[in-house]
Amino acid sequence: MTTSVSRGGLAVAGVSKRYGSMTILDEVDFHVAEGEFVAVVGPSGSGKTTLLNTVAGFVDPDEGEILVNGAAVTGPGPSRCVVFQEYAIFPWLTVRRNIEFGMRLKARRRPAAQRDEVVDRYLELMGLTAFADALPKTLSGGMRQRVALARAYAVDPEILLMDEPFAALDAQTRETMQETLLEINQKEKRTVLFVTHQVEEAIFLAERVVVMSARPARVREVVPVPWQGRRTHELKTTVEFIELRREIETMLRGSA
Amino acid sequence: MAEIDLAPARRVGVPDPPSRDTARRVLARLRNGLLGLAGFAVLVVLWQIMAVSRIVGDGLLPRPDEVFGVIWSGLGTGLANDVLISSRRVVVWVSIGIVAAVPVGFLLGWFPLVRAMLNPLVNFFRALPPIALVPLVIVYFGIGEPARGIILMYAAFFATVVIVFEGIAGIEDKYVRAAQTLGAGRAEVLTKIVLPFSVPHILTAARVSLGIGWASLVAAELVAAQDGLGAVIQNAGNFLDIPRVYAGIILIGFCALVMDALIRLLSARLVRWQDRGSR
Repeated sequence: MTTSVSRGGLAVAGVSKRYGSMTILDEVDFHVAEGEFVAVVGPSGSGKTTLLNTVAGFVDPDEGEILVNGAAVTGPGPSRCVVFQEYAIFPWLTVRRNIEFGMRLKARRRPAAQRDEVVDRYLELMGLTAFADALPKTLSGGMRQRVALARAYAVDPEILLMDEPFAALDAQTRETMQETLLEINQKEKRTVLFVTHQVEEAIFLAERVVVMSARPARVREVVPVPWQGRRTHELKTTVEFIELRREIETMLRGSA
Repeated sequence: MAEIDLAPARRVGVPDPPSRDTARRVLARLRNGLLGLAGFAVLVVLWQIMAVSRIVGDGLLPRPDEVFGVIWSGLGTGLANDVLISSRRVVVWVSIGIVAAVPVGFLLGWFPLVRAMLNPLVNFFRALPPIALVPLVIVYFGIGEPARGIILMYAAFFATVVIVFEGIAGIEDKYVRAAQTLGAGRAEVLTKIVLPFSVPHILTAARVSLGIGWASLVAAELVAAQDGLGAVIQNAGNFLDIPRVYAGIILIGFCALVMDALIRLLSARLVRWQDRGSR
C-alpha cells in the first residue's frame, strides 16, 4: 500500500539550462537522500523554479541529468509529484475528487475501496474531513493548499516537489501549514524537495538547505540543519535558529 | 508536534451558513426579476404614448393592445403552430451546429498549428451575415427544410467554434501541469482537464448560438417558408398588416428570451463550480 517499497533518492547531476544567451542554471549539482527533506533557497528570480521544473520534467536540461531512483527523468510523471505555488487544485472537482484524482489515472490507478481509504486518511490528516464534498471556490487559500498537499501525497510519489507552496498564504496560515507539513512528514516519511525564497521556512522544515547563487544559479553551499525533531513554533525564536537564518541570509545577499 | 491547532484554518474555510445565503440570493433574484419586468412596462407605456399621440409613423404604429390582441387571437388560430415550428427549427439546427462545432473548437484550441491555419478562415466565415447566403443556399440546397436549417446551422457553427476554442486555449497551464505531475497522459489531460473546463464555454456558446439562431431565423425562413415566425413577418409585411409584423417580432423576442433563461438555468446547474465572480 502506501507504506511503500524501495524509495530512491534524487540526484541532480551537473544540470545546466540556458534560454538564448542567458544561463539560468549552471552545473547545478546536489543529492537528496531517500526519505530526506531538502530545501532549496535562492534570491527571487534565481532560477529555483526552473530547477524544480527540470526535476519535475516540465523543462529539459541542456546539460546534465536528473536521476530518480537511478532512472533518468524524461518528462512529467507521478514519481515526482509537484505542489505548486498557485492554487492548482481543480475547481470543478470536490475536495474528495481532487485528492483521489491521481488514483483514478492509469499510471496510479487504485480500486475504489482503497481509494476511499487513502482519501479518508488524508482528509483526516489535513483537517479536511468536514469539507470532503466542498468545491474549491468555497475554500480559503490555506485549505486549498491542504487539498493540494493531500492530492500529492495520495499518489504516493517517490519524491514530492514543492514550489513555494505557502508563498501565497498570509503569515499566520503559512506557519500553520508548515507545522501541518512537518506533522505529515513525520507520520509518513517522504523524500521532499522544497523550493522557497524564505530562509526561515527552509531551515524550519528541512534537514539540509541547498543555498543557490543568483544568475546563473549555482549551488553555493549545502547547509545541514541541526535541530532534528525539535521543530516547534518556539524554535524560531531561539538564538541558534536566528543565527543560522542570518548566516544563510548573508550568503544570499552576498551572491545576489 | 502532534497537537497542532487546526482551528484557524478550519475557521477561515467555513462557507456562509447556507440558509441565510440562499434566502439572500432568492430575494436578490426576485428583485432583479421585478426590475426586468419594470423595464418592459416602461417600454410598453412609451409605446402606448407614441402610438396614441401619433408622434411617429403617422398612424402606422399600432397600439400595444392591438398587437397583443393579434397575438392572443392568433395563438388560437395557427400562430401557436408557427411559434412551435420556428422554435423547433432553431433548437434542432442550432444544436446540430453546436455539436459539429465542439470537436472543431477542440482541435483549434488544443493544436496551435491547426489554430494558426484555420483561425482566420473561421473568422472570415463567421463575419458573413447569414442573409447573404440565402441565394446560394437556394441554388445548392433548394427550398426545402434542410435549406432553411443550413443557414441556422451555419450561424451556430462558427459562433461556437470561436467560443469553444478560445475557452480551451485559455485553460491555465497550471491545471495541465498538475494533472501531468499526478500521472495523467495526453489523452487523460484531454478528457479529465480540457473537457470539464470546456463545459462552461460550450454552454456560453449555446447561449450565443441560440441568440444568433433566432436572429438568423427570418433569413432562414426567407427561403420560401410557408410557416414559422419569420414567414409570418414576411407575409404580414407583404400585406402591410403591421400589427401582425409586430406580433411576429415580439414572439421571436419572447421565444429567444425563454430559451436563454433555460440555458442559464442549465449552466447554473452544470457549472456550479465556477467562482461567482467569473460567471
